[in-house]
Amino acid sequence: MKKTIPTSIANTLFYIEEDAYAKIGAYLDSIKAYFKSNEDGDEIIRDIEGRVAEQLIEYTAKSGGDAASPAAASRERIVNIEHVDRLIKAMGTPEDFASSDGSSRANNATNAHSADGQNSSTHANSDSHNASSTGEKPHRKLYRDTEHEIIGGVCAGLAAFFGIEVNIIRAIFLISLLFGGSGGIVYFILWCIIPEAKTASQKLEMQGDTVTVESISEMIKKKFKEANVNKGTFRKILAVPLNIIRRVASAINRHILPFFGEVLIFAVGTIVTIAVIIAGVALMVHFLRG
Amino acid sequence: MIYSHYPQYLALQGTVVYYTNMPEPKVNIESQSSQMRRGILEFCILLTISKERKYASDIIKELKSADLIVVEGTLYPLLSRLRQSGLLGYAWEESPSGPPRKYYELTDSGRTTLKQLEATWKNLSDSINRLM
Repeated sequence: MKKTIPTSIANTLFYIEEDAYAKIGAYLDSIKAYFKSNEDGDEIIRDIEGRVAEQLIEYTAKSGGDAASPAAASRERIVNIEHVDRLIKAMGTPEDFASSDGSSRANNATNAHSADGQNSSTHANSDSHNASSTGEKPHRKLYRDTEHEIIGGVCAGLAAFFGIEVNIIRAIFLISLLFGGSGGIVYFILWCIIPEAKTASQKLEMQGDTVTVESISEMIKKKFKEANVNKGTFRKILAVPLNIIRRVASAINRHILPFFGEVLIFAVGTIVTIAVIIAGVALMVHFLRG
Repeated sequence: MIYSHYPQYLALQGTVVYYTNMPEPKVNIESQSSQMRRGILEFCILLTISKERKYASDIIKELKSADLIVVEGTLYPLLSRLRQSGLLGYAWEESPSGPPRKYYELTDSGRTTLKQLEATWKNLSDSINRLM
Protein backbone atom coordinates (compact mmCIF):
# COMPACT_ATOMS: atom_id res chain seq x y z
CA MET A 1 0.00 0.00 0.00
CA LYS A 2 1.18 3.48 -0.82
CA LYS A 3 1.91 6.05 1.83
CA THR A 4 -1.08 8.34 2.48
CA ILE A 5 -1.26 11.86 3.83
CA PRO A 6 -4.26 12.78 5.99
CA THR A 7 -5.71 16.02 4.62
CA SER A 8 -8.80 18.04 5.31
CA ILE A 9 -10.69 19.46 2.31
CA ALA A 10 -13.76 21.54 3.18
CA ASN A 11 -13.71 20.11 6.72
CA THR A 12 -13.76 16.53 5.47
CA LEU A 13 -10.91 14.19 6.22
CA PHE A 14 -9.29 12.29 3.36
CA TYR A 15 -6.28 10.01 3.20
CA ILE A 16 -4.55 11.03 0.01
CA GLU A 17 -1.80 8.94 -1.54
CA GLU A 18 1.50 10.78 -1.98
CA ASP A 19 1.47 11.28 -5.76
CA ALA A 20 -2.20 12.19 -5.73
CA TYR A 21 -1.48 14.67 -2.94
CA ALA A 22 1.04 16.61 -5.01
CA LYS A 23 -1.35 16.75 -7.92
CA ILE A 24 -4.45 17.83 -6.02
CA GLY A 25 -2.42 20.39 -4.07
CA ALA A 26 -1.16 21.90 -7.31
CA TYR A 27 -4.65 21.83 -8.77
CA LEU A 28 -6.26 23.63 -5.83
CA ASP A 29 -3.38 26.11 -5.82
CA SER A 30 -3.93 26.92 -9.48
CA ILE A 31 -7.64 27.44 -8.86
CA LYS A 32 -6.89 29.74 -5.95
CA ALA A 33 -4.48 31.73 -8.06
CA TYR A 34 -7.04 32.02 -10.85
CA PHE A 35 -9.92 33.27 -8.70
CA LYS A 36 -7.81 35.31 -6.29
CA SER A 37 -8.29 38.54 -8.24
CA ASN A 38 -12.05 38.01 -8.48
CA GLU A 39 -13.84 40.22 -5.94
CA ASP A 40 -15.81 37.22 -4.73
CA GLY A 41 -12.87 34.86 -5.09
CA ASP A 42 -12.78 33.48 -1.54
CA GLU A 43 -16.37 32.38 -1.75
CA ILE A 44 -15.91 30.78 -5.18
CA ILE A 45 -12.84 28.93 -3.92
CA ARG A 46 -14.78 27.66 -0.89
CA ASP A 47 -17.63 26.51 -3.14
CA ILE A 48 -15.23 24.66 -5.39
CA GLU A 49 -13.45 23.04 -2.44
CA GLY A 50 -16.81 21.91 -1.10
CA ARG A 51 -17.65 20.36 -4.44
CA VAL A 52 -14.20 18.74 -4.63
CA ALA A 53 -14.78 17.13 -1.23
CA GLU A 54 -18.21 15.95 -2.31
CA GLN A 55 -16.89 14.38 -5.51
CA LEU A 56 -14.05 12.65 -3.68
CA ILE A 57 -16.49 11.19 -1.15
CA GLU A 58 -18.53 9.85 -4.04
CA TYR A 59 -15.52 8.38 -5.87
CA THR A 60 -13.94 6.76 -2.83
CA ALA A 61 -17.24 5.26 -1.67
CA LYS A 62 -17.72 3.58 -5.07
CA SER A 63 -14.22 2.20 -5.42
CA GLY A 64 -14.32 0.88 -1.85
CA GLY A 65 -16.71 -1.79 -3.09
CA ASP A 66 -18.18 -1.98 0.40
CA ALA A 67 -21.20 0.22 -0.10
CA ALA A 68 -23.15 -1.77 2.46
CA SER A 69 -21.23 -0.20 5.34
CA PRO A 70 -21.10 3.56 4.95
CA ALA A 71 -19.42 3.85 8.33
CA ALA A 72 -16.37 2.02 7.04
CA ALA A 73 -16.30 4.20 3.94
CA SER A 74 -16.26 7.40 5.96
CA ARG A 75 -13.44 6.14 8.15
CA GLU A 76 -11.14 5.28 5.30
CA ARG A 77 -11.50 7.70 2.41
CA ILE A 78 -8.38 6.83 0.47
CA VAL A 79 -7.86 9.03 -2.54
CA ASN A 80 -5.58 7.80 -5.30
CA ILE A 81 -4.26 9.45 -8.42
CA GLU A 82 -7.09 8.10 -10.61
CA HIS A 83 -9.64 9.80 -8.37
CA VAL A 84 -7.76 13.07 -8.70
CA ASP A 85 -7.51 12.77 -12.48
CA ARG A 86 -11.21 12.09 -12.70
CA LEU A 87 -11.94 15.00 -10.42
CA ILE A 88 -9.83 17.44 -12.45
CA LYS A 89 -11.47 16.25 -15.65
CA ALA A 90 -14.94 16.88 -14.24
CA MET A 91 -14.16 20.19 -12.56
CA GLY A 92 -11.90 21.60 -15.28
CA THR A 93 -8.63 23.50 -14.98
CA PRO A 94 -8.19 27.29 -14.96
CA GLU A 95 -7.31 27.05 -18.65
CA ASP A 96 -10.76 25.56 -19.30
CA PHE A 97 -12.43 28.35 -17.34
CA ALA A 98 -10.51 30.97 -19.27
CA SER A 99 -11.54 29.59 -22.65
CA SER A 100 -15.17 29.00 -21.76
CA ASP A 101 -15.59 32.17 -19.77
CA GLY A 102 -13.55 34.68 -21.73
CA SER A 103 -15.52 37.74 -20.72
CA SER A 104 -15.24 37.34 -17.00
CA ARG A 105 -11.53 36.62 -17.21
CA ALA A 106 -10.99 40.04 -18.74
CA ASN A 107 -12.99 41.53 -15.90
CA ASN A 108 -10.88 39.73 -13.36
CA ALA A 109 -7.76 41.21 -14.82
CA THR A 110 -9.06 44.75 -14.52
CA ASN A 111 -10.44 44.10 -11.05
CA ALA A 112 -6.98 43.08 -9.96
CA HIS A 113 -5.92 46.72 -10.22
CA SER A 114 -8.36 48.00 -7.67
CA ALA A 115 -8.98 44.90 -5.59
CA ASP A 116 -5.53 44.08 -4.28
CA GLY A 117 -4.20 47.52 -3.59
CA GLN A 118 -1.24 46.34 -1.61
CA ASN A 119 0.05 44.15 -4.37
CA SER A 120 -0.59 46.73 -7.06
CA SER A 121 2.49 48.59 -5.88
CA THR A 122 4.45 45.70 -7.19
CA HIS A 123 2.87 45.25 -10.61
CA ALA A 124 5.66 45.36 -13.11
CA ASN A 125 3.89 46.28 -16.32
CA SER A 126 0.30 46.92 -15.42
CA ASP A 127 -0.53 48.35 -18.83
CA SER A 128 0.01 45.21 -20.83
CA HIS A 129 -1.67 42.78 -18.48
CA ASN A 130 -5.20 43.84 -19.35
CA ALA A 131 -4.93 41.78 -22.46
CA SER A 132 -4.67 38.51 -20.60
CA SER A 133 -4.47 36.12 -23.48
CA THR A 134 -3.31 32.67 -22.53
CA GLY A 135 -0.02 32.79 -24.38
CA GLU A 136 1.20 36.02 -22.82
CA LYS A 137 3.54 36.00 -19.85
CA PRO A 138 1.87 37.59 -16.85
CA HIS A 139 3.37 40.51 -14.95
CA ARG A 140 5.81 39.75 -12.19
CA LYS A 141 5.09 40.55 -8.60
CA LEU A 142 7.59 41.59 -6.01
CA TYR A 143 8.01 39.06 -3.21
CA ARG A 144 10.83 38.12 -0.90
CA ASP A 145 12.50 34.98 -2.22
CA THR A 146 13.19 33.16 1.03
CA GLU A 147 14.30 30.03 -0.78
CA HIS A 148 17.39 31.82 -2.04
CA GLU A 149 17.85 34.07 0.96
CA ILE A 150 21.04 35.00 2.76
CA ILE A 151 19.38 37.39 5.18
CA GLY A 152 15.72 37.93 4.35
CA GLY A 153 15.41 37.17 0.66
CA VAL A 154 15.01 40.84 -0.33
CA CYS A 155 17.88 40.84 -2.83
CA ALA A 156 16.80 37.54 -4.39
CA GLY A 157 13.24 38.84 -4.68
CA LEU A 158 14.39 42.09 -6.31
CA ALA A 159 16.58 40.10 -8.67
CA ALA A 160 13.66 37.91 -9.73
CA PHE A 161 11.47 40.98 -10.14
CA PHE A 162 13.92 42.83 -12.38
CA GLY A 163 15.22 39.69 -14.04
CA ILE A 164 18.88 40.35 -13.22
CA GLU A 165 21.61 38.45 -11.43
CA VAL A 166 21.09 38.43 -7.66
CA ASN A 167 24.74 39.15 -6.88
CA ILE A 168 24.55 42.53 -8.64
CA ILE A 169 21.82 43.62 -6.25
CA ARG A 170 23.72 42.20 -3.29
CA ALA A 171 26.79 44.16 -4.40
CA ILE A 172 24.75 47.36 -4.60
CA PHE A 173 23.51 46.82 -1.05
CA LEU A 174 27.02 46.01 0.21
CA ILE A 175 28.46 49.12 -1.42
CA SER A 176 25.66 51.23 -0.01
CA LEU A 177 26.61 49.98 3.46
CA LEU A 178 29.83 51.98 3.12
CA PHE A 179 27.84 55.19 3.17
CA GLY A 180 26.90 55.35 6.83
CA GLY A 181 25.05 52.03 6.66
CA SER A 182 22.15 53.51 4.72
CA GLY A 183 21.74 50.32 2.72
CA GLY A 184 21.05 48.40 5.89
CA ILE A 185 18.13 50.65 6.74
CA VAL A 186 16.74 50.43 3.20
CA TYR A 187 17.12 46.66 3.36
CA PHE A 188 15.30 46.48 6.66
CA ILE A 189 12.44 48.65 5.38
CA LEU A 190 12.09 46.50 2.27
CA TRP A 191 12.18 43.40 4.45
CA CYS A 192 9.21 44.71 6.42
CA ILE A 193 7.23 45.87 3.41
CA ILE A 194 7.67 43.15 0.82
CA PRO A 195 5.60 40.03 1.48
CA GLU A 196 7.28 36.64 1.45
CA ALA A 197 6.53 34.32 -1.47
CA LYS A 198 4.89 31.48 0.46
CA THR A 199 2.56 29.53 -1.78
CA ALA A 200 3.56 27.85 -5.00
CA SER A 201 1.55 30.31 -7.07
CA GLN A 202 3.21 33.30 -5.39
CA LYS A 203 6.61 31.85 -6.19
CA LEU A 204 5.60 31.51 -9.81
CA GLU A 205 4.24 35.06 -9.91
CA MET A 206 7.55 36.24 -8.50
CA GLN A 207 9.31 34.78 -11.52
CA GLY A 208 6.63 35.90 -13.93
CA ASP A 209 5.63 32.35 -14.85
CA THR A 210 2.09 31.51 -15.80
CA VAL A 211 0.23 29.81 -12.99
CA THR A 212 -1.07 26.50 -14.28
CA VAL A 213 -1.38 23.02 -12.87
CA GLU A 214 1.66 21.95 -14.87
CA SER A 215 3.90 24.81 -13.76
CA ILE A 216 3.04 24.32 -10.11
CA SER A 217 3.61 20.59 -10.07
CA GLU A 218 6.86 21.19 -11.94
CA MET A 219 7.93 23.55 -9.19
CA ILE A 220 6.97 21.20 -6.37
CA LYS A 221 9.12 18.50 -7.97
CA LYS A 222 12.03 20.93 -8.23
CA LYS A 223 11.65 21.89 -4.59
CA PHE A 224 11.90 18.27 -3.45
CA LYS A 225 15.24 18.04 -5.21
CA GLU A 226 16.56 21.32 -3.80
CA ALA A 227 15.58 20.37 -0.27
CA ASN A 228 18.53 17.99 -0.05
CA VAL A 229 21.11 20.67 -0.75
CA ASN A 230 22.94 21.79 2.40
CA LYS A 231 23.10 25.40 3.42
CA GLY A 232 26.61 26.84 3.57
CA THR A 233 28.52 27.28 6.82
CA PHE A 234 28.41 31.07 6.36
CA ARG A 235 24.66 30.93 6.67
CA LYS A 236 24.83 28.58 9.64
CA ILE A 237 26.92 31.12 11.55
CA LEU A 238 24.56 33.91 10.58
CA ALA A 239 21.50 31.87 11.56
CA VAL A 240 21.14 32.90 15.23
CA PRO A 241 21.26 36.71 14.95
CA LEU A 242 19.31 36.55 11.72
CA ASN A 243 16.45 34.66 13.33
CA ILE A 244 16.03 37.49 15.82
CA ILE A 245 15.95 40.16 13.10
CA ARG A 246 13.65 37.95 11.08
CA ARG A 247 11.14 37.81 13.91
CA VAL A 248 11.23 41.59 14.32
CA ALA A 249 10.71 42.12 10.59
CA SER A 250 7.83 39.69 10.36
CA ALA A 251 6.24 41.16 13.49
CA ILE A 252 6.36 44.62 11.91
CA ASN A 253 5.00 43.17 8.70
CA ARG A 254 2.11 41.50 10.49
CA HIS A 255 1.14 43.77 13.38
CA ILE A 256 2.23 47.30 12.58
CA LEU A 257 1.82 47.60 8.82
CA PRO A 258 -1.93 46.85 8.73
CA PHE A 259 -2.49 50.15 10.58
CA PHE A 260 -0.99 52.14 7.75
CA GLY A 261 -3.10 52.69 4.70
CA GLU A 262 -2.36 50.70 1.61
CA VAL A 263 -1.63 53.96 -0.15
CA LEU A 264 1.20 54.71 2.22
CA ILE A 265 2.68 51.26 1.69
CA PHE A 266 2.44 51.77 -2.02
CA ALA A 267 4.16 55.16 -1.83
CA VAL A 268 6.93 54.06 0.52
CA GLY A 269 7.52 50.87 -1.41
CA THR A 270 7.76 52.63 -4.73
CA ILE A 271 9.99 55.45 -3.46
CA VAL A 272 12.34 53.11 -1.65
CA THR A 273 12.59 50.75 -4.60
CA ILE A 274 13.26 53.55 -7.07
CA ALA A 275 15.73 55.17 -4.68
CA VAL A 276 17.68 51.96 -4.30
CA ILE A 277 17.87 51.39 -8.03
CA ILE A 278 18.83 54.98 -8.84
CA ALA A 279 21.43 54.99 -6.07
CA GLY A 280 22.85 51.73 -7.35
CA VAL A 281 23.06 52.88 -10.94
CA ALA A 282 24.51 56.25 -9.89
CA LEU A 283 27.17 54.54 -7.81
CA MET A 284 28.09 52.17 -10.59
CA VAL A 285 28.41 55.06 -13.06
CA HIS A 286 30.43 57.00 -10.50
CA PHE A 287 32.90 54.20 -9.90
CA LEU A 288 33.21 53.28 -13.56
CA ARG A 289 34.15 56.85 -14.46
CA GLY A 290 36.66 56.86 -11.61
CA MET B 1 -2.89 21.22 -49.17
CA ILE B 2 -2.14 23.33 -52.17
CA TYR B 3 -1.73 26.44 -50.05
CA SER B 4 1.04 24.95 -47.97
CA HIS B 5 3.26 24.76 -51.06
CA TYR B 6 2.28 28.08 -52.48
CA PRO B 7 4.30 30.45 -50.26
CA GLN B 8 7.38 28.27 -50.58
CA TYR B 9 7.26 28.57 -54.39
CA LEU B 10 7.09 32.35 -54.21
CA ALA B 11 9.93 32.47 -51.74
CA LEU B 12 12.17 30.65 -54.18
CA GLN B 13 11.75 33.57 -56.55
CA GLY B 14 12.96 35.90 -53.84
CA THR B 15 9.56 37.23 -52.96
CA VAL B 16 8.88 37.62 -49.28
CA VAL B 17 5.42 36.36 -48.53
CA TYR B 18 3.57 37.27 -45.40
CA TYR B 19 0.43 35.30 -44.94
CA THR B 20 -1.89 35.19 -42.02
CA ASN B 21 -3.51 31.96 -41.01
CA MET B 22 -7.17 32.13 -41.81
CA PRO B 23 -9.27 30.38 -39.19
CA GLU B 24 -10.76 27.24 -40.58
CA PRO B 25 -14.53 27.42 -40.98
CA LYS B 26 -15.06 24.52 -38.59
CA VAL B 27 -13.30 26.32 -35.73
CA ASN B 28 -15.42 29.37 -36.41
CA ILE B 29 -18.65 27.42 -36.06
CA GLU B 30 -17.43 25.98 -32.79
CA SER B 31 -16.68 29.37 -31.35
CA GLN B 32 -20.02 30.70 -32.59
CA SER B 33 -21.85 27.88 -30.85
CA SER B 34 -19.89 28.27 -27.65
CA GLN B 35 -20.59 32.00 -27.64
CA MET B 36 -24.29 31.32 -28.04
CA ARG B 37 -24.22 28.83 -25.19
CA ARG B 38 -22.27 31.22 -23.01
CA GLY B 39 -24.79 33.96 -23.71
CA ILE B 40 -27.75 31.97 -22.44
CA LEU B 41 -25.96 30.14 -19.61
CA GLU B 42 -26.99 32.55 -16.87
CA PHE B 43 -30.56 32.41 -18.14
CA CYS B 44 -30.43 28.61 -17.98
CA ILE B 45 -29.09 28.66 -14.42
CA LEU B 46 -31.98 30.88 -13.36
CA LEU B 47 -34.37 28.51 -15.13
CA THR B 48 -33.09 25.42 -13.30
CA ILE B 49 -33.40 27.15 -9.95
CA SER B 50 -36.83 28.62 -10.69
CA LYS B 51 -38.61 25.28 -10.37
CA GLU B 52 -37.29 24.51 -6.91
CA ARG B 53 -34.36 25.51 -4.77
CA LYS B 54 -31.24 23.64 -5.75
CA TYR B 55 -27.69 23.12 -4.73
CA ALA B 56 -24.73 23.39 -7.07
CA SER B 57 -24.50 19.68 -7.81
CA ASP B 58 -28.17 19.53 -8.97
CA ILE B 59 -27.64 22.53 -11.23
CA ILE B 60 -24.52 20.95 -12.68
CA LYS B 61 -26.34 17.70 -13.41
CA GLU B 62 -29.14 19.48 -15.27
CA LEU B 63 -26.82 21.71 -17.27
CA LYS B 64 -24.61 18.77 -18.14
CA SER B 65 -27.49 16.64 -19.34
CA ALA B 66 -28.58 19.58 -21.51
CA ASP B 67 -25.01 19.85 -22.89
CA LEU B 68 -24.75 23.41 -21.69
CA ILE B 69 -21.56 23.19 -19.64
CA VAL B 70 -18.48 21.05 -20.08
CA VAL B 71 -16.52 21.54 -16.86
CA GLU B 72 -18.11 22.13 -13.49
CA GLY B 73 -15.72 24.84 -12.41
CA THR B 74 -17.27 27.34 -14.80
CA LEU B 75 -20.53 27.30 -12.83
CA TYR B 76 -19.21 28.77 -9.59
CA PRO B 77 -18.10 32.18 -10.89
CA LEU B 78 -21.47 32.48 -12.65
CA LEU B 79 -23.39 31.67 -9.46
CA SER B 80 -21.30 34.26 -7.65
CA ARG B 81 -22.02 36.88 -10.29
CA LEU B 82 -25.78 36.18 -10.18
CA ARG B 83 -25.72 36.41 -6.41
CA GLN B 84 -23.87 39.71 -6.51
CA SER B 85 -26.39 41.21 -8.88
CA GLY B 86 -29.08 40.22 -6.40
CA LEU B 87 -30.85 37.61 -8.50
CA LEU B 88 -29.95 34.66 -6.27
CA GLY B 89 -29.82 33.96 -2.58
CA TYR B 90 -28.76 30.83 -0.73
CA ALA B 91 -29.19 29.01 2.55
CA TRP B 92 -26.89 26.45 4.14
CA GLU B 93 -28.21 23.00 4.81
CA GLU B 94 -26.65 19.92 6.37
CA SER B 95 -25.89 17.08 4.00
CA PRO B 96 -26.25 13.39 4.92
CA SER B 97 -22.68 12.81 3.72
CA GLY B 98 -19.92 15.36 3.46
CA PRO B 99 -19.82 19.11 3.91
CA PRO B 100 -22.96 21.25 4.29
CA ARG B 101 -24.58 22.36 1.05
CA LYS B 102 -25.58 25.75 -0.25
CA TYR B 103 -29.12 25.70 -1.54
CA TYR B 104 -29.74 28.43 -4.09
CA GLU B 105 -33.05 30.18 -4.55
CA LEU B 106 -34.35 33.01 -6.74
CA THR B 107 -34.90 36.38 -5.14
CA ASP B 108 -37.88 38.58 -6.11
CA SER B 109 -35.74 40.54 -8.54
CA GLY B 110 -34.44 37.21 -9.84
CA ARG B 111 -37.97 36.11 -10.63
CA THR B 112 -38.77 39.37 -12.48
CA THR B 113 -35.53 39.14 -14.43
CA LEU B 114 -36.29 35.55 -15.35
CA LYS B 115 -39.74 36.55 -16.67
CA GLN B 116 -38.18 39.24 -18.85
CA LEU B 117 -35.54 36.82 -20.09
CA GLU B 118 -38.18 34.20 -20.89
CA ALA B 119 -40.04 36.77 -22.99
CA THR B 120 -36.82 37.70 -24.77
CA TRP B 121 -36.08 34.05 -25.44
CA LYS B 122 -39.54 33.40 -26.88
CA ASN B 123 -39.22 36.37 -29.21
CA LEU B 124 -35.75 35.27 -30.27
CA SER B 125 -36.79 31.70 -30.85
CA ASP B 126 -39.81 32.85 -32.91
CA SER B 127 -37.58 35.06 -35.05
CA ILE B 128 -35.07 32.29 -35.66
CA ASN B 129 -37.82 29.79 -36.51
CA ARG B 130 -39.28 32.22 -39.00
CA LEU B 131 -35.88 32.56 -40.67
CA MET B 132 -35.11 28.85 -40.75
